[in-house]
Amino acid sequence: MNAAASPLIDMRAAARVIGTEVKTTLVEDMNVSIMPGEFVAITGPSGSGKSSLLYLMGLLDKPTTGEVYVRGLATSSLDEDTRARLRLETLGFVFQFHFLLPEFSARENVMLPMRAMAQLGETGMRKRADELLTQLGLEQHAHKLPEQLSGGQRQRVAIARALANDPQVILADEPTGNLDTASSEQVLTIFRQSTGGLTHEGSGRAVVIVTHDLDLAARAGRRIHIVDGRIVPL
Amino acid sequence: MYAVVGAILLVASFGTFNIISTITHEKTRDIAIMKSLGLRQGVVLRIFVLEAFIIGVLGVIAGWVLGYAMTWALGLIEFKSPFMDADRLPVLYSPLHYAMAGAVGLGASLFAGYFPARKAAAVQPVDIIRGAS
Repeated sequence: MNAAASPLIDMRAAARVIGTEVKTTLVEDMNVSIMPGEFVAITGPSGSGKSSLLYLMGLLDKPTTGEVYVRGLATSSLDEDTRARLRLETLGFVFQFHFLLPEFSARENVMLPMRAMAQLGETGMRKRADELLTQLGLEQHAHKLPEQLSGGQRQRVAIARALANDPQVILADEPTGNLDTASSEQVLTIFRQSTGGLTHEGSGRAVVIVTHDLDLAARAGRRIHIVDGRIVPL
Repeated sequence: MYAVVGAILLVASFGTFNIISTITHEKTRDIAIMKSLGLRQGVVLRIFVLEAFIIGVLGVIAGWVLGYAMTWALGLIEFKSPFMDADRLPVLYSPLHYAMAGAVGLGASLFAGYFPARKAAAVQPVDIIRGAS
């Protein structure tokens, strides 16, 4: 980690409360910084607010109070399209359920964020998608639909999709939750390799992973533990 | 005659609307995924309106072919009537009728694609992702 670098994601006193009549606090008083090149694990019991924290970091949700800065930009007041653009350019998501589009092949799923970015031509997008799928050992499966792939293969396609636009931060919500041990190990290795890689911006990519798996968390560079929506010391 | 044709087109439009709006509604999760990846709401909306347009065009072409074939088959039926000279059922091939049916079918498709897609594109992806996980 570069101590002089500025955080990629910086949460300041962020809280998220849902409900109108009956209010439920998902997370509160969140002060978290994600630095370039970090591999961070978020742990905690079920319902503790791990995923809610990740969704706030990933601009999928807005804090009720506090602020989330992405690359130094305050995001709460941004409109939805600007937040979507920031997600597209800066962040890559991997969910517990692969969430691949069922009608698209593995290659087309990986190309989807590139299409939205509209920086590469059809050949360039196809080449980049094939490179990513090859890096993840899926070169033989590029043409297959998600239903023709195993759970581990689907999750690797989802990782390739998350890496498609060369994001500065990968946010993964229980990415190994539905995988066997061998596939989980494979996914973890990919994340660790990805953390070391430099993005087009020249900074080390950060990976933030939500997990129940304490063995996996122990292999991260830093661990954030949440109980009842608050960060607690380990 | 136009009242009968209008009623038939209205019923057909409801069918078209139901099918396309159901397809779009079933895609709410896919819409949430696309939005979570960073696709803008307008882009997502365009994808589904375009899909509805393509389905509508294919449906109109299929309807024209099927309608023409059925009208032609109807014209082959022989009968004898003391009230008319013709020995076959008289049929009318009017481009205007094809155009009207096509316009109504395509309009229903676009209407059915646009409104559910606009509603689905406005959802917060986190609400769908939370529900699915």
